Amino acid sequence: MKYLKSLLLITTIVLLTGCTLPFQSEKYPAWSTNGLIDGKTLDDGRIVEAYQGLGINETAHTRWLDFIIQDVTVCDTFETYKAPNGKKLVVASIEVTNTSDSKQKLSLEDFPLMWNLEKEEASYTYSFIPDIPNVNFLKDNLTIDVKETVNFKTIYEVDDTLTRPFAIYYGELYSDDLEGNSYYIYVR
Amino acid sequence: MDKNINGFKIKYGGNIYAGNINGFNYLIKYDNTSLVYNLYFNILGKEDIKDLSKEIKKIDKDITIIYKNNVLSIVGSLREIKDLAKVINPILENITKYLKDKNYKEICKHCKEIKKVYLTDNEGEINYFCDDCYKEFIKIAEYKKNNSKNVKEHTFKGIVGAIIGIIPGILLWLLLSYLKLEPGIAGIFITMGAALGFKHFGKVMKVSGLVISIIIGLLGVLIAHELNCSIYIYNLYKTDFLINLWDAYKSIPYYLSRNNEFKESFTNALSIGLILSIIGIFSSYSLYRQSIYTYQIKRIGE
Repeated sequence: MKYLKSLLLITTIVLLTGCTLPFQSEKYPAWSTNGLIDGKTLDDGRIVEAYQGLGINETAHTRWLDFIIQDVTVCDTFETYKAPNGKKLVVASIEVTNTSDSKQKLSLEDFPLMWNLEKEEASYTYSFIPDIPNVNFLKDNLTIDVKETVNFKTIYEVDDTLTRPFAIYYGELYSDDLEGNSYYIYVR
Repeated sequence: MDKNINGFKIKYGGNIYAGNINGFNYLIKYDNTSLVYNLYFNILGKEDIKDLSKEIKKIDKDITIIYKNNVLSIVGSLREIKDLAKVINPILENITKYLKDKNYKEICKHCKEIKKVYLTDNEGEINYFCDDCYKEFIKIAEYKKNNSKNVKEHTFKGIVGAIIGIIPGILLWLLLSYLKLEPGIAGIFITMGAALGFKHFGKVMKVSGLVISIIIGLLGVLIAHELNCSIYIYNLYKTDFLINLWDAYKSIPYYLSRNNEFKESFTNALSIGLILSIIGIFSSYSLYRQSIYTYQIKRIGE
């Protein structure tokens, strides 16, 4: 009976500590959203400040572009490029289609990689262009013609402690510098 | 008051008096609520007790006196409990004198034979039994006790039974939560269900069964609670997010660490459920005790 009481006490304490059960996680859930959420509608009818969460191979329909992140790889070496000590590489394959009626430009500051998503201010880094021949990376001033589709890769150097989920981000920006909606492609 | 009853020897269990007067052992049982007393003698003799009845009714005309199956039984009532000795003493005196005069013999309650008898508690039955019957009772009880030890516990079936047993309690937890009532109350039914389920399928509950059913019961409480929280989170976010119940379950620790209100509600419900489940655990222990045959047969006053 004494053994039983001890067992019950231990079990109760363990259960009450709210320890994480199998498959549970304290990490940011990184759920896909049901379209754009939490936005506001301006007088001119534009919806701004909303955000959408998506997954790999899900198409984001932004104001001027449709884009889809087809693949994300985490590695130490990509082609001939090796990450420095303490770092690793994240490589994404992205397809972008210009759905507007004017040319659109992309830069290296589009599609940053974000992590610490649960924090008020997430951490982020931009992609860069490594010295790897025959691979089409995102570059500054990449112009996409009307209805044109382009494919490119983005590559990021991050700490080797980076864990999932992280996200690749795209934010709309109007010509009057008004921030539009945000799109997070979660890598879970 | 007790010692004023003639020949009084033993007060047992609060409302049973036993004694010996004029060579006859008697037993008085009275009911505190109705103030009705019963006086018994186990005797062998002439069946016709009309004379005795007439004699006793002179003392109290409302008394009932019956001699059947070798038991002389006198039933009467009191105005107040403190009157018991005053009322019963003349009756005792008269009856035992009559029994002696008419050559009645004292017998064993069980075998009905004229033997020396002893006041005995036979599994809650208080009466006078002879030594031979007392030994027979002990022998039968020992046999039952040994038999109970040999009954095999079907552990695997018992586990299945315990798992089935927690399901109604888990559903009750969810229902109470849906009705905005305290769901932890269902903890009682979960642990009770585990115990009953184990016993039903496992046939008997021994120490291992007791431990297993308790653990399954407590896990059942946890499952109910987690399921309830998952449903809560799912309902909260299903409009804006493409999630299912599994996604909600996985995210519970995240919301616990960020939402104080949710954390408070989570901890409270789980605490109440676990505390109340202790009541259900007593049923496990009770079923376990049933599986262990023990007996209480002892002589009183020796």
